Amino acid sequence: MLKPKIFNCPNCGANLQITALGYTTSVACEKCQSVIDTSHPLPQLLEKYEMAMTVTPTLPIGSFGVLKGIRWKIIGFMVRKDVDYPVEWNEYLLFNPYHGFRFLFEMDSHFSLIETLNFNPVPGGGAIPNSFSNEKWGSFKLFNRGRAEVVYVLGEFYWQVKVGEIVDIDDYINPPYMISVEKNDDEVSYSLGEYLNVAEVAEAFKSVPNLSLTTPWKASANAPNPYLSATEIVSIFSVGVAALIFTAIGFAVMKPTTKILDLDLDNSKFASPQGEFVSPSFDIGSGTGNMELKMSSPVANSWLSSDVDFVNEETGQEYKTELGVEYYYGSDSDGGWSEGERNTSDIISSIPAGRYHLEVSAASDMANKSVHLEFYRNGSMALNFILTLLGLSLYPLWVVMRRRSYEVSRWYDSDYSPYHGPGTLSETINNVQSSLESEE
Amino acid sequence: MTFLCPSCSAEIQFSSSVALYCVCRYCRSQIFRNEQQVDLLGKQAELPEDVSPVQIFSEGEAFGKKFRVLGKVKMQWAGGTWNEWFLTYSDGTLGWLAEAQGKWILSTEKKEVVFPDLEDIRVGRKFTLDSVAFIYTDKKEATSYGFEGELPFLTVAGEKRFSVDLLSDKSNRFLSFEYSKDERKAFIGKYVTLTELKMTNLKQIEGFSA
Repeated sequence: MLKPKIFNCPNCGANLQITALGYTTSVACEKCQSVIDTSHPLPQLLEKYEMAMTVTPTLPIGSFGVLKGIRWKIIGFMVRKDVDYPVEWNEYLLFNPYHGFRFLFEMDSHFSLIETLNFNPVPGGGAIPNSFSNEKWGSFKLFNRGRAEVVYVLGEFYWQVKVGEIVDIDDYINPPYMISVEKNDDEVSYSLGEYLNVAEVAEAFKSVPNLSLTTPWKASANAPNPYLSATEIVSIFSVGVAALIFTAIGFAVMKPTTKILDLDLDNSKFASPQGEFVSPSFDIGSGTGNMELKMSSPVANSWLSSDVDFVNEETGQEYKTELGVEYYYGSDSDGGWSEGERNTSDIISSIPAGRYHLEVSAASDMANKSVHLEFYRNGSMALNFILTLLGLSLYPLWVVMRRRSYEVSRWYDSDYSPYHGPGTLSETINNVQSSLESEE
Repeated sequence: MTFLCPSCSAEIQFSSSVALYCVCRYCRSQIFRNEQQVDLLGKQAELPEDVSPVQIFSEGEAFGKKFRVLGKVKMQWAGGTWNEWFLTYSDGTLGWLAEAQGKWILSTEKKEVVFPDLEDIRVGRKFTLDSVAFIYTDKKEATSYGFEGELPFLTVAGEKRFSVDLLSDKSNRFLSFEYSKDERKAFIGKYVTLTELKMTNLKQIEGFSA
């Protein structure tokens, strides 16, 4: 069983180790931050560093974590910054002898797993396209062109690491992917990053004591937009509406409207001392269906108003409703006219289940107060249907707006933002510069 | 074929009929096989230890054939070291598995190549081989550390050669040229992973499992 090679820092004597023996060509001492050349059998001090700063990596060197099914060891750590903007990020070098190297990128609690590519994925032979398409990873857009400088290093590297080294970086994004091209005078390297959820990283490195990772609070270049795309939302919305229609049809088929009461009343039925008609008892079951009370009266140039009380026979509780009709007609110089209706109805939706009877009274200017009452359950669902449909359509609108606003904030710091808003800092500077130049 | 080491009399075995050179595992003598006799060529220092999971007698599969690792060459350049593993396939053909910076390239020697002059090679320029367009990605001078196991040729520690790498983005092929004092060689291949080679008999490494 091959173990890591142990050696002493030639500057401070600290115990250091090399896991990627044969690959590692430089080690930054975890105690004194000196950089040691380990490409020869005898480690040599490359750069003695008395760094004013000390950075403690979120994930310590030597930690193991399983990402995308492979167990990685963190062997190196690097802080880099943008030369032109106040932006800084961490990169961990991950190693598994059977799978090679990866980088774990960390910025503002956003993580990506990065693998160097063996070929140039950007078409155009060195040109900088604004967008390009890749068979495997989709359509990429240019997100950033910048310069990155190494500001802090710890642990092992398979190249000669150097604080102060600057490379040009072009980043192209297609969340969750990012393709980066890094260039210096000697070489060009290409890499593919894939966004990692903070939860995936926390799970991978759960063996790290006192690890506390915070949830990201702002957008990142390649984090997937948490809000559904317009296409996705339209398809989900259509499925929802279809489901709603099927449900409505299903309810109508399975629970047809049933008539509970059918009463024909006239003066003879209102002959009691109270002038009330008391109906036979009936049951209102529990259920979600609406109940509807329909009333009609053969009014002719007259009106009729009817008070209907639902009386719960167990509790004595009364639920009152009033229904009225009027109908007038005649003829004048324009011909015949009519006004009003002989039918009306009321949706009864707030009556609890129980045994009931109706107490009905009527007032009218007709001699015979003739009323026809019908009481149904699982009546019309049209109102519910329309309300649900309205609610369903508000949600996609909200999601589409949130999604757009997330993209705007993702691209906020990019010089290549497709969202035109208040210009970026560099645009403003460029504008000022060009206007100054034109004045000269 | 089994012989006795002319230096320490330990048993030495050639697994491949095309391998003519080997290093004795016990006394680190370089040995040349000639018909039925072996000649002592000289001693060689042990190769520097590395974390490579591949070792002599590791096995794997490629192109529908099984292969076996028989030899290891270690090279050094200004930016570090790399390994070249000598393979023989089940059908008797030869191959190479190169290892650098955690990446693996499986290749075979390509004969009848019209080599460009070393001086004319510039990184970024194009080269066409069998109507496939390649681009020069690397040109460096390297020094041999020597070898382990058996090889079809001899390499001794300190020997220098130029190594030139080319890539074809479109075909995902890899091409490399070697320019040494006496000869030029070309190898054509592709990037692979140890997983896709279904490697077995790999080295055990603390903290990891194959």
